[in-house]
Amino acid sequence: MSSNRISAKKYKWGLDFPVRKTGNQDVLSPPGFNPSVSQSSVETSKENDPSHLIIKKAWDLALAPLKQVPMNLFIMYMAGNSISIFPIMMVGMLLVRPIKALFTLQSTFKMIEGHHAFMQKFVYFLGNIVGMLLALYKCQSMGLLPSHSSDWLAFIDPPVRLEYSGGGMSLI
Amino acid sequence: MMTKGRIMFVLPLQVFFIFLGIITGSNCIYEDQVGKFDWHQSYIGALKFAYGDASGKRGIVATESNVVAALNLKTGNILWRQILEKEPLGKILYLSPSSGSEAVVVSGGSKPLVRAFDTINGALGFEWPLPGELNLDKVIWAISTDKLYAVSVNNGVDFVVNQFSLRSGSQTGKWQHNAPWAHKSKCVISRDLVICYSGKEIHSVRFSQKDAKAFTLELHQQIVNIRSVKSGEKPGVFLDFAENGSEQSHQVVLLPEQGQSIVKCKLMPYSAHWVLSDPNHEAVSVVQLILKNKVLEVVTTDCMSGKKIEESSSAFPFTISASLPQLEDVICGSRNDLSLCRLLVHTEEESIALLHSSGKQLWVREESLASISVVEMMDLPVSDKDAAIEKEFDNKEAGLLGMFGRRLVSQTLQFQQLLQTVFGISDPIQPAGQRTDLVRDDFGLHKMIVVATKAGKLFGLDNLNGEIVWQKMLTNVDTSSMQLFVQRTTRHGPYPAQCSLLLKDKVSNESVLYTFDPITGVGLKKNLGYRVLQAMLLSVMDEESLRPILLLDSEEKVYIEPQTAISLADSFAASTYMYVANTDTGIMNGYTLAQSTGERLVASKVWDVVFNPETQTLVNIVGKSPQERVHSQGRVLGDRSVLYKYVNPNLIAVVTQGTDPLHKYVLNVYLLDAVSGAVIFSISHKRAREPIHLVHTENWVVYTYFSEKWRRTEITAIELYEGKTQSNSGAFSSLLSPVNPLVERQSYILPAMVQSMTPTVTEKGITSRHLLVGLASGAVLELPWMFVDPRRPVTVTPEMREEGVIPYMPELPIPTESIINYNKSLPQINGIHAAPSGLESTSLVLVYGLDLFYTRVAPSKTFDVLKEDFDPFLISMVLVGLGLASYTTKRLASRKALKQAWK
Amino acid sequence: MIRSNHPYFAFVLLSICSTLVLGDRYDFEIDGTIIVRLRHYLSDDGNPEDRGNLTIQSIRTGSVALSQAIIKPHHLTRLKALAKNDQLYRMQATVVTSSNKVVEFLTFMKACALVESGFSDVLTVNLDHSGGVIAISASAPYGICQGAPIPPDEKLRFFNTTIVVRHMDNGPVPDTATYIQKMERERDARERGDQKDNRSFIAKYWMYIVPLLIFVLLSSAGQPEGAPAAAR
Repeated sequence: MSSNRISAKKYKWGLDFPVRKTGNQDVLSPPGFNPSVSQSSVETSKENDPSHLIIKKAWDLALAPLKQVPMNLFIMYMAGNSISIFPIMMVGMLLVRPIKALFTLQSTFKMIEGHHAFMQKFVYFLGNIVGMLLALYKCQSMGLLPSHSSDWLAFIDPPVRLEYSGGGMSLI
Repeated sequence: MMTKGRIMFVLPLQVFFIFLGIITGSNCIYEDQVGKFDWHQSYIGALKFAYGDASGKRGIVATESNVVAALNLKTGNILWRQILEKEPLGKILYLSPSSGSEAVVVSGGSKPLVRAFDTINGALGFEWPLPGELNLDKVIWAISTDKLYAVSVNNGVDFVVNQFSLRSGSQTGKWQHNAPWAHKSKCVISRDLVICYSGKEIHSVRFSQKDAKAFTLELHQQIVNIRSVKSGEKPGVFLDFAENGSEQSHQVVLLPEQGQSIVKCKLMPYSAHWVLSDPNHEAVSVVQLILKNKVLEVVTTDCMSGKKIEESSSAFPFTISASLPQLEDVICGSRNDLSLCRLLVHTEEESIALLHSSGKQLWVREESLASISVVEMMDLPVSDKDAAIEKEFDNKEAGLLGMFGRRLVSQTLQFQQLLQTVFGISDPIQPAGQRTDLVRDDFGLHKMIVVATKAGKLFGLDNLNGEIVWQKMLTNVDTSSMQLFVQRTTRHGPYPAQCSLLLKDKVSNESVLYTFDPITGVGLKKNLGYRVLQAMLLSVMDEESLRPILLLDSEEKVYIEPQTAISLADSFAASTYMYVANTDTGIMNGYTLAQSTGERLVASKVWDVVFNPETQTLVNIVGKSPQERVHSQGRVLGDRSVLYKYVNPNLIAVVTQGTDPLHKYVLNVYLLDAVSGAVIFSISHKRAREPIHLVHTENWVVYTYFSEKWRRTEITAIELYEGKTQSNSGAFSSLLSPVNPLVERQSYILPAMVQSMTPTVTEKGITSRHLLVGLASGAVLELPWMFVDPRRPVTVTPEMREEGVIPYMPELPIPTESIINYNKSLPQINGIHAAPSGLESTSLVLVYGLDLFYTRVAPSKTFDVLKEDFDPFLISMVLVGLGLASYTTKRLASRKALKQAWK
Repeated sequence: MIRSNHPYFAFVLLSICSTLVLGDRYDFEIDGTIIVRLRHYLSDDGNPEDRGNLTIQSIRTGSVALSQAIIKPHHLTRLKALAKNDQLYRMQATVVTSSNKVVEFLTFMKACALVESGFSDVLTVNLDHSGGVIAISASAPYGICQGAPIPPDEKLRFFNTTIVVRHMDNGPVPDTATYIQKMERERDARERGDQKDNRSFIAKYWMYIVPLLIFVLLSSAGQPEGAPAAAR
């Protein structure tokens, strides 16, 4: 805007010669046109520009579940294998959190704009899967998974009798 | 911190498990629950001797069940009851009042005991053993003036009189009377006379005098029977003469006492039962009992003239028994007037009754309930309303319109019933004499207990209070080997339930089948005309939902009852097997019906097992209940693998008592497959002997025996497993690919004498099983099976602990909380019957023996029943209140928010 | 096909394999031999035919000798007919004990199971506490009777019989001795358990301290990476 004003003044004064090289320069830039926009695209590669921050944030987000793994391992160790209310609550949390996270994957990454979040999404997904696997392992070691034959025992029907017998001591 | 806590728990865990076991085992009730779920009835057994005591308030009785008791003559209740020892020691030989107010009882085998019980409180007055040896078969007992006499009759020679002092027990004299006419079965004692008959003559001797002379009286007819006169002033006898033509005559002869004359009453057409004499008038009258067309006539006649005395004769309907009751005593007030007397009678059906001479039945005691041999608990039928609903959903092929019509009809009926109950109009179509409350309840807790007694009497008892609903006497039957079959339960629509009782005819020894409706007792007796060796229910039902009975007779022919089911039986013949064991020969035979044709069932022998009678005798065979259901097919181990149970429905446990030159007694238990005849497992206990009680269900066998070596009762449990894999999970065949099961076994000490043992039964077999053990002390112990588990280890590994096995302890505890009959001791327990109820948690139990005791047990606690203190009203009120409160607060909050928004 | 000139009367000693079910078995005071004559029924009615002889040489050790006849072709056809009709193959065993007592036993199995298994059957001889025979039962453990192919006739010439002699097991007795020992051991352990645990704090609880340390290290290791990011 300021340069436009300056050029208008130039017409009054007519001192600025080198600017008047071409004839079609008379057309004014439309209001709101900012010729420096092209320059800003160059600046994205710089360290502290917002796009870089977003990628960084996305990676942070993607790696968060994996970073939780040691903590989860520790909680799992502390919870022990006995079945009581607190270990169950802990294991439940361990299991439910990644599942919830997976379901809300799209909304989590919505704030990160752009098409390049695929890698992060994948890592995030992997991290949550690892968390889930850990929780399942914990369930298994606590004996909560129906992985043994004994867990299906109640559903076995009694075998059908093929022969029938009866009798006893002589009644005579 | 948490893990540290866990470690600290490990040590007391064992103690904890034991504690847990005891807690789960206890089924004790609170004081206010006494009599709520249980009832107890006391009996005395079949009457042997009885008399009314001097006060006229008590009847003193001695019974076949070795019981001496006093009955309240007003109500028939037991005032006191003394239970003597088991036979032969407790067998009562004689009962008589002493000169004081004591009842003197002679009981015992070769060495009799003389005891006196106070008639008022039953306290033991004195007790002494009879010195010397007596042949009790020959002895007639008598008491006279504080002396006890044992008169041994040597048939055709003499009788030897042993005189004892009643109080001290010392022998005060012994003498003999020559009596070539004496014969034990033809002699009676009346007062202090021995009176015998031979041919036409009666002879009498005063046995209490050393050198008394015999007295002979010749009568004009052949005598066939003699009974002593117990009443009146004079000794005497009732005589039955031989039949003269078609008529039989009877006479009463009273013999002289110190210079009096003989009284010979006039001949009578009916036998006399009692003598009434008036000391003032010297007049003697005779009482006769005559039963004609269910009317009992009490006829009093004058002795000399034979004329009927109308004012003291009566006739009244008599329904207790079909046969003439036996008159035990006539209990009169102060005056000897028969119209004020009461008659104590007992019948062939083992009932004791007190009749007023006017014909009023004062009370009846059904004493045959003290000798129950088979028990079954039957569901009650559904009410008419429920039956209509059931019917509505029963017929599925009726088509849409038909079903709609039926629904309309049933709902109109229901509406009509509703109107009737609302307006208080009672249902007019109610069959008279039938109880209306005998319908199935929601939880199946109300049942009919059907019992058959050794006297041949059948009863239907209401299980809630023990009341007799119906009774039926079967006459002329031998009840030594009774079998009760439930052919149809009440769950089969319009058809009534049906049971059959297999007995034998007393005379011909041929089998008799009594088929009856267990709810009403109405039935039909059928003489089969052959002798049944063994019988079983067919595994399938016919088109009327009836299970036919297969009968194998002594000539190995097979019959079926009802006979119309023969084609049905034939179609299942190839898979039906029967076995019969003979105790005398020790041979067990297995039969198959595979060779049957459509018209005829044929049993052919396919296997036999021989227990050589020289080395062992068959004691007992216990099969599994055919209705048994096993819910869990395996047992979960500590590592969460499964040990599959070996559940062979054809498995039978055979107990034999062997003899051995070294160990004296050997107890053998064989587990046999009743189809293939294969011995699956056999075990032998050295120096162990009877009594043996065995329980066989699911995949285990538990038995108790007496260890001669340690002189204690031991209990052994055997458990059979297929292993970690199931050979064929779909079907079980005894013939194809038989498996050799793994056997676990363990023994324990049971610090009590066992009388009877049975497992609890529940409908689906989900609830854990307990053993109900009747003890000689009169207690019924509920012993969790967990305690006799053969897998109880001495040293507990963590895996075992995970499995929940209690560590091994050689002696089983008998905690008083586990006694299901709390303080109501049950003498002479003969058996325990457990039946499932509609609730899976609850098992109904009837303990029978001398007494009846009924209760419920819940082995895994009543997990399917709300607690008694559960208050649905309070809870619903709280819920409604909370709902209202939340609604109003919501409204208030929204209003407040609106106001705030306007500010 | 079996050659027709085969001498039928020749007995072939087929198997001396015997299994004695060991374990906590009953000991007999006396030893003896038992001779068993085996005969089998080849139809539902009719007389039994000879099958062979079995001698239990010692009831204590369970050593047996068995000689069985070759199955004649016409017997084979009859056996096959039994199998085809799903009938029962019955066998009679006549036992002569050492005291010259004769006892007869009957046993059976499904004929189809026997033929399907190629005549590999198992004969179980059950003895009681005095060494007497109480039952001889036959079974064909490999036959399943569900239409399995019948082996060719060449393989159906002999019985391949296994003999099992089963003694009774000894009944268990309440194990008081071990229990008392255990109680004593426990009491001793309790007395010893009163002594102080002299290990140092670290030696006792290292298994809790090490994970805690690792945890602390891990969380602090993540810090330098996160801290600058948070600062910006």
